[in-house]
Amino acid sequence: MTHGSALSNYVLPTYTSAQQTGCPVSSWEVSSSNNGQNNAITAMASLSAVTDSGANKVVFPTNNALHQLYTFFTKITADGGSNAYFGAYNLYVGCFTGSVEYADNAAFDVDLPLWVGDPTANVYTMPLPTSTRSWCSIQSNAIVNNDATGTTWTGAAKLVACASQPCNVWSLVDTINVETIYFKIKTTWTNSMTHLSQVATITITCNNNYALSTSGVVPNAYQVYTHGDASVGYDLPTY
Amino acid sequence: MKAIKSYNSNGSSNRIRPNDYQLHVSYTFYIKVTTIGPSTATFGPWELRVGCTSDTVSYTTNSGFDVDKPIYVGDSTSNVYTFALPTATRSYCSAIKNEIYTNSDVIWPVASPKLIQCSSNPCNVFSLVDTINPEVITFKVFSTFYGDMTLLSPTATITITCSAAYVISATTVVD
Repeated sequence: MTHGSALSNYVLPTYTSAQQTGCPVSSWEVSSSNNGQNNAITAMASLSAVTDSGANKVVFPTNNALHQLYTFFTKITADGGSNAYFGAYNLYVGCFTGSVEYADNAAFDVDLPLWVGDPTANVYTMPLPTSTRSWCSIQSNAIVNNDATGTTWTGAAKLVACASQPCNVWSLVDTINVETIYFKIKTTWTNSMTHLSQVATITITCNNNYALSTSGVVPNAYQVYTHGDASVGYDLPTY
Repeated sequence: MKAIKSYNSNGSSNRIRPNDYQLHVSYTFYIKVTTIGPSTATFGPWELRVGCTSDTVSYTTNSGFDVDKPIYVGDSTSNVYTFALPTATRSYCSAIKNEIYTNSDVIWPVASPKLIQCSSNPCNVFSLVDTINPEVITFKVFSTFYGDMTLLSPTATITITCSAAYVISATTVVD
């Protein structure tokens, strides 16, 4: 369940006694442990008492701004004193390990080929990672080293850091040279959770359609030199 | 007197007996004795009490009368209440019918039964209609005896309460 919302709560099962008509369930209590039939509960300050919510009975955190797992039991008592413990129940509130999973988008671009001289702007677009909880949102994306933990990028910058977050489109610093850039993207989610992408590669190679030109002295159609001198020849221009 | 007749049982004494000895009746009669001569005299009144009448028998509530029967919701309804039969001063004067009455001394209304009246009498064991809800049923038992004598019992109570031993289950899990 999302955090920070009064609507976040755990909807309890419907409990019935074997004589529900005449001796209905009349008490719902929350306990941090299963203390066994006929034993008192252990109070749980982090959760509310069982509360009516429409036709349901619900439990919710006393502080719903926390990203937290609440494990609890219920002690259910019927008129006449019959009682039983139920649970354990897990109430996941917010975004934390166990409540949400992240994964690379299926369209994650692992290899982007470029040519030397291509534009540098908005070269690489990362399809956003997916989350199993809609309320766990992306706070930022950062280009990081291609290592196991995604350490902060070291060395000369190859991709330009985003000016504002969250962003998912990066420009290159340049495309002057042939090179292969390996990197990962570390995504930071709600509650500072992170997801490290697989390795992406930008491969910059030379094209075969560059315009070639000459510079310097354009030679004559022919040049004449003496024979017998190994140091002379046809002088080419600069290409 | 047509109701009784003279009967010589064994030749040594005279005996008077009812013409219809199925009746529960007290007969008051006189005897007129005549000797040879004749001399006469009338004796009496004498009384012949036959069967079960207010003159011959009295009934009282059995000391074992169950005034309070506690049971639980969900208990079996069959043969819940056993009515200890009233005590009679004559062994041959027994109840021929026992009926459930309200605590207001009228027969329990058919429209809203709590205990099931006996389908055949005499009976003294009663079943409940149901044990679904907690409730207190107060009633009396009206006994009819031979000779149309009757006795209304004290108030009896069946108290149906919730047990502390029911199974509680979670029927629907909503995640």
